[in-house]
Amino acid sequence: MENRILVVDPNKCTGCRTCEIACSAFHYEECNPRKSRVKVFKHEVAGVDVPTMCQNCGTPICRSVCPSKAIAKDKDSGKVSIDQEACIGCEFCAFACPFSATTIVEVEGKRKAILCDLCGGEPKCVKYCETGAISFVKVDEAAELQRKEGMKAILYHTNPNAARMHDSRILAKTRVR
Amino acid sequence: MHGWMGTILRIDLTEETINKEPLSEDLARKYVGGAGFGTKILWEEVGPEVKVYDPENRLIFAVGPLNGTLVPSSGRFNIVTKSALTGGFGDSSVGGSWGPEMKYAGYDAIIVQGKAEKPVYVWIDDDHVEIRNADHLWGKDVWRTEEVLREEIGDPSVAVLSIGPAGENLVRGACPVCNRSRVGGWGGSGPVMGSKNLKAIVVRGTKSVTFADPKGFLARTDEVIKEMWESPSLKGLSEEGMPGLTPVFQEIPTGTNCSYNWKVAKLEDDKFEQCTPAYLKETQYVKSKGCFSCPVHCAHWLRVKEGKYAGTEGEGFEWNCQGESFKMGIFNQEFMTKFNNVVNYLGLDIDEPACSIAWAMECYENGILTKEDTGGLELTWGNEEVVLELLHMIAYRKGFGELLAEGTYAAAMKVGKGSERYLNTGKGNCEARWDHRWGYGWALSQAVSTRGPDHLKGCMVPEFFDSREMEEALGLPTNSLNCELTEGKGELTVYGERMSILSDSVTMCKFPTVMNHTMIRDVTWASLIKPVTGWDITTEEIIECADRINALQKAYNVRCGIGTRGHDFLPRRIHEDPIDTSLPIIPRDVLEKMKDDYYAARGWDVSTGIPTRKSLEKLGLKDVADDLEKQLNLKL
Repeated sequence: MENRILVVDPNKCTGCRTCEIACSAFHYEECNPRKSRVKVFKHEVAGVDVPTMCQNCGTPICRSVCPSKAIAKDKDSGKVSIDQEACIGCEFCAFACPFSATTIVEVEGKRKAILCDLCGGEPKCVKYCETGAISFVKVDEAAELQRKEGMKAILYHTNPNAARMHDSRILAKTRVR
Repeated sequence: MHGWMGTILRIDLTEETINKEPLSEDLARKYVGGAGFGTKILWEEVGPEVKVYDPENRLIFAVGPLNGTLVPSSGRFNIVTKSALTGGFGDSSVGGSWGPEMKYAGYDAIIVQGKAEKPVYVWIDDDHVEIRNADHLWGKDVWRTEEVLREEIGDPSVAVLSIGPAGENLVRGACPVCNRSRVGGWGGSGPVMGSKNLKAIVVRGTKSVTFADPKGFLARTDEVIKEMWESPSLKGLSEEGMPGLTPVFQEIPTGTNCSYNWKVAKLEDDKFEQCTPAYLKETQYVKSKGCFSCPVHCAHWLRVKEGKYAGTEGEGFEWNCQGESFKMGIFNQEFMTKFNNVVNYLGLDIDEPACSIAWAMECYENGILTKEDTGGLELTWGNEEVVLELLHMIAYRKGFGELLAEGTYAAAMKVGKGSERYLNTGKGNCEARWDHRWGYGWALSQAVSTRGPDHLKGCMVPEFFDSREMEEALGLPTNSLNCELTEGKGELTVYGERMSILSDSVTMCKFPTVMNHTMIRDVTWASLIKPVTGWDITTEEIIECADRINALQKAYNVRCGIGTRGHDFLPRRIHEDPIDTSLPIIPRDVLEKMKDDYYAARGWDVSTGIPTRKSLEKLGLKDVADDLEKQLNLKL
């Protein structure tokens, strides 16, 4: 199967966060945005909304910082995933990720980090997004470009200084291949 | 309990105590949630002797079983209180993300009572509830308050509901605001919050809403979303937002874009050109914005690109911004964006102050108010600068603003000299933008509404379609949707009120429901509540809940002295002043006849408009009937 990635268009995102509810509903059969693997960054003063999820970076920063070696990147699919058994819930990955893509949840009293798993090939955030702000596309140059735009928007609005200083470096590292 | 969080939070600001009470299944099943919970709690706890600004008055924030779920447009919550505008039942449905956040924090309702000694705000972090000092926030506008609180708590994702200077200064038309532009209008709850010295409630919730039958629920939700988009009018609302209604209102032969304090109902061509959604999109549109879990995204982010309001940007521009501007004789959409922002950061309702300014403008035109009265303000139609200045004066109760801050009705009573002729109020509350003169159903539903004349209580939108098929589909009498006939309007209003109350109680927006070909209605809600809660709830049962809530709201108004037949009236202008477009007036005897039909359809006493014992007992409200008889010394 060809590799596909999630790309976002901040100009289409209305900030309704239906993707967050859909994500938790399908993974846990309950509705709770704090258990969602996709999050909408909202900057209410500037009117900016950017959905964000794991970008499956080429050199995942989360993998580099994980003390329990729970994070791996699959060679064929390019997918980054977290071994739930090995994860110790230290949140290093959550701090390190420039897009805050890891979510920390409590499972049976233990804290665990979770990541977007593309819903096994049919992402629910895409299905429930009315405006098409999130789409699931084939990996090509255009997709890479669109992905960068989304990520730039997040970086710019979460930490404009960091965005100016580091975005080219971070973005270079996050290429899928 | 699935669908509900199972806890009602009670905050006493006088005693500085916080209590968590379990939600009884009986309350949930009989009153659904949201407005239903609020109505019941208000009836139980706030008697007729309690004055609006007394510490004993309650502020009830409540959500319903569908709130915070994947059901489209379910992110709303309801604020119920003894209204500062009517002195009776008052409620507001609010969008944004505050309601779901409160539910995720684990509460189906929050009751605030008492009065803090000094300004405070409440910080709710799941189970942790704290009353905090708000000295540093008092005096700040809504937008600044939100920023400061987010910084103080150190989390940009918290939800803030706060009042601005208008609420602090007990301006009758003040509102609590969340997400900068989501406002609890019309219910008169802003000054009540101010009277309690409560500046804000900040919430962070991390709990889950669970389902009795998750798979069934998700499958049903998918069907509902599909059904919802089959409606053509929803697509329009989604693309154009509420400004899309202006052309619809213009197309009605008689027009219902009331301007110049309801003197004119149709815009002149050049003015209409400037106020179309297409023109708005061309000049100001940046992108669509939606409330929590809403695929309709009727709000837009707008930015004024040039002119004297250049750089003004914000969200939530909707028909009130246009309609209320029309009333003041302003037809400039750039001003409207500014106007919207000003009322939002001052924490004012958009309707009440605009209604009072429009009234004052007509008084000024007719020499009842002069420059001496207004402190030098030139209250001429369309004077944008004066309107913006006056809004600030109202919020801070300065100069002429002091008079208008008490609400349009109180202002007219104070001024006298025939200024009452230009009033467009009912039960003390202002009228919305719609002109009732275009349709009999509209007129009736506004007259009998429980919180003052209001298009969101009877929700007569089906009347726009005038379709026999729709009448059949909704089970309405033939020709009841014909706005030129008076037959069947009683039943039509009952239908509209049921759908509207249920929207506010399951807490869904009225856009995909009663405002939209009524695609999502009683049948749908029953089928959604079933997998959420696991209850075997039928459509009949849920309709009964709606009637129960409505009867209780009416009984509450009766107890407060604003609930009899005489209080269900329309402004003089609707009966006496035909407007420019040969629109017929609504004759008084025709309204009285329709009111007969309405009370009869409700099973209430036709001569007094008060619910009968029989009708109350049928809904399981025997105690309410007893209470009314005892307190008012009458035989129901």
